[in-house]
Amino acid sequence: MSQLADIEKGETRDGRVSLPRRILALTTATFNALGSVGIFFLMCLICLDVIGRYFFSSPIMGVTEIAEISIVAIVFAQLADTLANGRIARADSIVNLIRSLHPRVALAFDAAAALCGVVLMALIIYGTVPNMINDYANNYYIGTVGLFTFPSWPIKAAIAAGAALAGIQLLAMAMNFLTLMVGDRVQAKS
Amino acid sequence: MTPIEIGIVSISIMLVLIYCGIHVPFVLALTSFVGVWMIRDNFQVAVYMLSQAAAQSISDYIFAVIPLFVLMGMLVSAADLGRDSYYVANRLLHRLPGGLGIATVAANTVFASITGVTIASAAVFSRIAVPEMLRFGYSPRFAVGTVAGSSVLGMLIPPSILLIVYAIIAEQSVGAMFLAGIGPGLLLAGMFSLGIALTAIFYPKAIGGHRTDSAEDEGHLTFREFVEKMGPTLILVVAVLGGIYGGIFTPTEAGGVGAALALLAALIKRKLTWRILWSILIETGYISSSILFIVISATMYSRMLGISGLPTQISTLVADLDASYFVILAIFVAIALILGTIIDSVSILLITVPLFIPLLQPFDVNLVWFGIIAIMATEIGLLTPPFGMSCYVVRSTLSEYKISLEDVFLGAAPFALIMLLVMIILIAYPQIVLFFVY
Repeated sequence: MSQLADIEKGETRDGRVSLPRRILALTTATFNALGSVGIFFLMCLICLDVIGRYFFSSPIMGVTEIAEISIVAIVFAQLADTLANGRIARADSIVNLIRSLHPRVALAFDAAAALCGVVLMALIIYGTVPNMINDYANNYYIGTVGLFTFPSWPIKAAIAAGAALAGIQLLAMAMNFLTLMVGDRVQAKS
Repeated sequence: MTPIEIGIVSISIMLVLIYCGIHVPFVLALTSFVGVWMIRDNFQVAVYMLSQAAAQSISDYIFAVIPLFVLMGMLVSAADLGRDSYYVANRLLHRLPGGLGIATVAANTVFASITGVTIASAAVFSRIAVPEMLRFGYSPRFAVGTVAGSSVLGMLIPPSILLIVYAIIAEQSVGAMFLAGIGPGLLLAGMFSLGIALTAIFYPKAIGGHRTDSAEDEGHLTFREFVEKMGPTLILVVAVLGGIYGGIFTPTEAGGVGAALALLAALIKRKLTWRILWSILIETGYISSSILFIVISATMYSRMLGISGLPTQISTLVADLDASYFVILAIFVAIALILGTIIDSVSILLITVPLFIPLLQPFDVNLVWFGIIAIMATEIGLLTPPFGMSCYVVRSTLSEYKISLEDVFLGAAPFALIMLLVMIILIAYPQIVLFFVY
């Protein structure tokens, strides 16, 4: 499993990581960290709202809306790194059985899985970008006028950016699997 | 092809692709995308549905509850509250037959009431309870089986991520689901303990060296010690569950407050460095984004099902067949058990529940009760070979003890059987589930 995780992170033959891959890894980790900090801030905000409401009878406006908006942005920001760490649910038991007998065949499955993800991310971006432009052009917003409003295009932008990063990550993983598959280094694990 | 046929073909292809090892959310979203595209014969409609699912499906206040409860679960593990509850349970119960085993079950029950992630409790108790049981001469197989088996309590006893996910997809209230989990969770814990005690009395070999009498008796648990060890846990339970049922907070707020209190507990107990806090935040991100991304793709899938009209068609078909609802329930349980051996519980719930709810509607089945049955069925799969996930976690946490996967599965098998028995009891007596709810 850890070997696979190494492969997915893009370790090359001699353990060194090429520059574009390092940039990619750094970017996904940064986005992931932003998402994690986002969860933490959400926790703080909700607590402040509860304290404000019960002890000072002054709730914070728009916490509900902020939670709604940020949860989508957080998920898409963390998607690429979650994928890179092999944390998206996947029934890999059968593939791992194949891996012990025919590692190259298993790599083909891995590559196919990653490419499916690339197609999905491309479709999400293709569907989201026009919506984003539309929301921006028409000044669409979320919330209640007078209490809390927030433009809706940045959320769409976050989805598109997160999906793009996840797509690039998956493409890099697929290329890595394919290189290993045609390469000469793979042997059956004993 | 008619929409129904497309629906059936999509589901079949979906299962094949999942078994091929394609990531579950990719499979759900892509096959549903192609399904909608074919049913409507319109590419743009399918694209529109996909982008709507991405932007709207989790854009709701209730979904923030998932990362917050995951964060709380990670923090209480870091604060060593699991170790404290094990210490107390051990002191109180170690004289019973199979005492350390029962203490593990009891401590897991208490810990389950402050954490929502099964895998987390499996990892925590593998580290705490297994070495202790081995030290007192219990058989390794029994020790690991007990930890893997009792870790499923985390999913039934509130707060629980699975109860939240079910509440969201079945459109039930999170509060009602939490209440519904209490009765079955306690019943299961009781049955586990009873099973251990009976085995210890009638077939002590299975449990192993019975050296509890010769063990150095560390004196009685003082009241002060009890308060010190259990205080933080009790405060968390009262704040989170009391807050929800007292109408003080929404479940999302309870998650936020619970996470903050857990953070405070970890800080007071000096268990938190910046480094640990950071790794907890990153881990929380991985767990919650993987769950929520599956929810997004499952929204696409349930919309595809809706457009195909498959569930309503099957339900009229079933109504014509005049099958009893026990047959449908049995089919559901069988599917969940089979899927449970290969994919995680969240994915199973999201795949099966949207199909089965319309099927059960004509029978006027209580959906809160059905949720508990569904969760029990998927959780049994976590304990059964070939791919029970809890067993893998226990084994990988204990890599230095040379415990084989076979030992974990064999040790967990009696617990899986007890779960099956409890599930049958719950089907026969739905009151156990609904007692706390209504």
